[in-house]
Amino acid sequence: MKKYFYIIIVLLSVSFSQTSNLTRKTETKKESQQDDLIFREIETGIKDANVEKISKYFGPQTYFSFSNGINGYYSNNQAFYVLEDFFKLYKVTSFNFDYIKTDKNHPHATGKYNYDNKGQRSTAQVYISLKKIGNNWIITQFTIN
Amino acid sequence: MFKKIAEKFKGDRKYFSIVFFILIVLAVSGIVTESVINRNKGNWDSILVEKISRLQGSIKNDFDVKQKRIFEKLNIVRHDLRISLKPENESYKELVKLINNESFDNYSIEVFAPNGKLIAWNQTIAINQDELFPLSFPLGETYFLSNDLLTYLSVIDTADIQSDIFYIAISTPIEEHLTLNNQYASNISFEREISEKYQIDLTIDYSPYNERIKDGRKYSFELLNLKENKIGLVSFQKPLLNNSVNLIKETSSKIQSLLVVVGLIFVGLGLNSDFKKLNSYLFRFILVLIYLVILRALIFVFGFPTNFVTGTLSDPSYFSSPFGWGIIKSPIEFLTTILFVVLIAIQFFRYTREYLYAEHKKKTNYLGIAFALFLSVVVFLLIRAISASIKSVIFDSTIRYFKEPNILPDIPALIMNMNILLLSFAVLLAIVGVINLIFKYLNVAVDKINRPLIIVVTLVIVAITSISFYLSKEPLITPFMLAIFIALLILLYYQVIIRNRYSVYNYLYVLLIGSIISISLLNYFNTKLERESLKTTTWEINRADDNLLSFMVEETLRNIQNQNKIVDVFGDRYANYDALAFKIWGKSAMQRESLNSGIRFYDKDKNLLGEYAVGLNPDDEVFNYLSSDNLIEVVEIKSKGENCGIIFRELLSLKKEE
Repeated sequence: MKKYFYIIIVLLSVSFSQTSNLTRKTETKKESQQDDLIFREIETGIKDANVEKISKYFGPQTYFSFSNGINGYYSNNQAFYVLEDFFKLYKVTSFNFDYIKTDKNHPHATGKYNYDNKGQRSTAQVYISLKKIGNNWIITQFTIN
Repeated sequence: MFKKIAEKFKGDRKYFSIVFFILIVLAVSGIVTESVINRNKGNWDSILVEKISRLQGSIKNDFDVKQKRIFEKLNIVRHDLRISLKPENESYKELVKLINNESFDNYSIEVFAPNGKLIAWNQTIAINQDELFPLSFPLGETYFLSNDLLTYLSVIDTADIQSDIFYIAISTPIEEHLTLNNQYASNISFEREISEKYQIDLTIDYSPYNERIKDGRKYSFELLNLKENKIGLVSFQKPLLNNSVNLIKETSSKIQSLLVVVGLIFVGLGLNSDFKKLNSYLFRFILVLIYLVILRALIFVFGFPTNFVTGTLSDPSYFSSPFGWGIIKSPIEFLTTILFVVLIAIQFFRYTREYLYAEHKKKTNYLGIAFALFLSVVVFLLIRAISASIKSVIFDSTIRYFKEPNILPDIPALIMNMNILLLSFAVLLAIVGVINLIFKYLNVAVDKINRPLIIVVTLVIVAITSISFYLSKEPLITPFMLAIFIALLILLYYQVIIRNRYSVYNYLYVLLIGSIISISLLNYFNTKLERESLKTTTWEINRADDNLLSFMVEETLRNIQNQNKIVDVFGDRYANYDALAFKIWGKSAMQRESLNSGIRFYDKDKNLLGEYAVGLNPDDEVFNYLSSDNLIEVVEIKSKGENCGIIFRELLSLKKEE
């Protein structure tokens, strides 16, 4: 009887550890899927020059580094118009992320930003990194070089 | 006849005539725009030639201004040299003093003795004594003198003194070959100056040997000195028909929107006399409110003033708030909105004051008491509104209001300070107006100075404001501040309504109290911001992770690879690699973000060719990490378990060196 009892205990503990491993893996997978979704939404936002789609991921202090001299931390309210102004000046012609790293700690993505500035067409490199604060993912760095 | 016509346009009619005239101009402007666009499309070839020739003429003029200025300085130096080297007062000391005068601040001046020895100079030496001969260009002719980091516009000429020939070289920087992102860098660029002035894509080759560009989309012309000798080449993108049409449409729409706004202002003026006949203060105020709100909304929709005022004032990176769909999205938009708010507040204050002292008495009923109680809560809401606004001014801004060292702050800070003052002025007028209504609804005869009743009502207002403060989830200010503000408000109300209601100084008192309140709020929220800045510092420390650093390094490398001029340097025996490293670093994102970073060049034998680094001291450990044949590889070096930097290699460049 005792033997069966020990077997059940062992089986239960093994299954529990497996379940918890599986749950952790599923959570990690879910998080990385979430990162990917966020990056895709940001990508669409940039492609359509739609700041509203991107602004929901601005944190209280988002770091912007743009080729037009914008460089520093901006509050989420300010960041909205700073980005909108940039999109007005450098009209996006096409944009795609060519690399997305969905990492638990440092998810980031890079892509090519093709734009038209007063009739001059050119390309810039974009780097965006995310961070999870509480339950929300926020953009910590937004670079357009 | 003229008198008769003038008679017809008297009074309100003149305003409506102006509105009618504006409507005609609006219609005509639409027709004219269309015809100008069609004319452009039909005669684009001849218009293009005309445009290019006009551009060429303007750029030449701009350049000639610079040349003439350098000759003016040359003549001054020559004159000074003759005076100071006269036999009776031969003084080199005086000469050195003269050329170091403030008026020569942007010029490098070198004076050479007849034997070619440098005898006097100011600031940085542009031409060394061993570089004087052979002369790069004939004497008395301007030319471009380029070194690794700078291009000067220079001229060398002689001064004949007592049968001795002295040489004077005078140079002014015209193009810096790098842009540094800090407050001390002047970032001089004639190319950028011209590009921005004429809104064109332009390049300048500062060499007399370059040939005209054969690309049909571009136009080149020679840059000549005042003796008509070629010293450089300007190339720019030919204007495009589409851009020209868009520009015409844009300009026309700006003019039309401005006309609509002016028309609306005249409609308001035209209705003014009828408006004055209205007896009801409430109706009057509602009309003023509707008119001003519509005017502001239209101004905003037409992009005024943002589309008309460019520069720091319309830059949201100084200040922007999402309030009202963007009606305060920049310092200038904030100023425009606040001017309207001030107008509304003044009218509200005036009408409520008139209403308070009006003859007819209101019967005190429960509804009146309830309304007065509600208005007491509004007093608190207005105090909270000004607190929230000033909090936004501090937190949604990059202007550091208390760190400005100058007595007169720069334009964005000055405008923001004025906005804050006007905002507090408007809010105080509104609060006084609300208190007027409270007294009216409670039927308190303020003019008869019924002290006990006034005191009781005031205490009730204070009590309700305080209760609202304690019930508020986020009151924004401290109880002490609220107490001070209420005390100031009571003083103000006593002065401007009870004691001396028609004094011309009343608005000054409102401004004074407003400035005290706004400065204390500004100071309070600034202290909060500084406390919050600890969080930002933490963000900043963690921001530059290895992913970001890799991206920046890779970006810098790719840019080098794409610039043939830089890759070609590797074939030059006399290349200055230190200067090259500095130039590349200066253009990189690493410089822009003030990161400890640097660039090093090695030859095939791993000897250091040149470098520029800030906050780094890398050793040759870099070579331990080179293994693959990738064109660009970003490698992280770990030292004692800590990340100490990122190294890179550029095999394409190294191969050129071999």
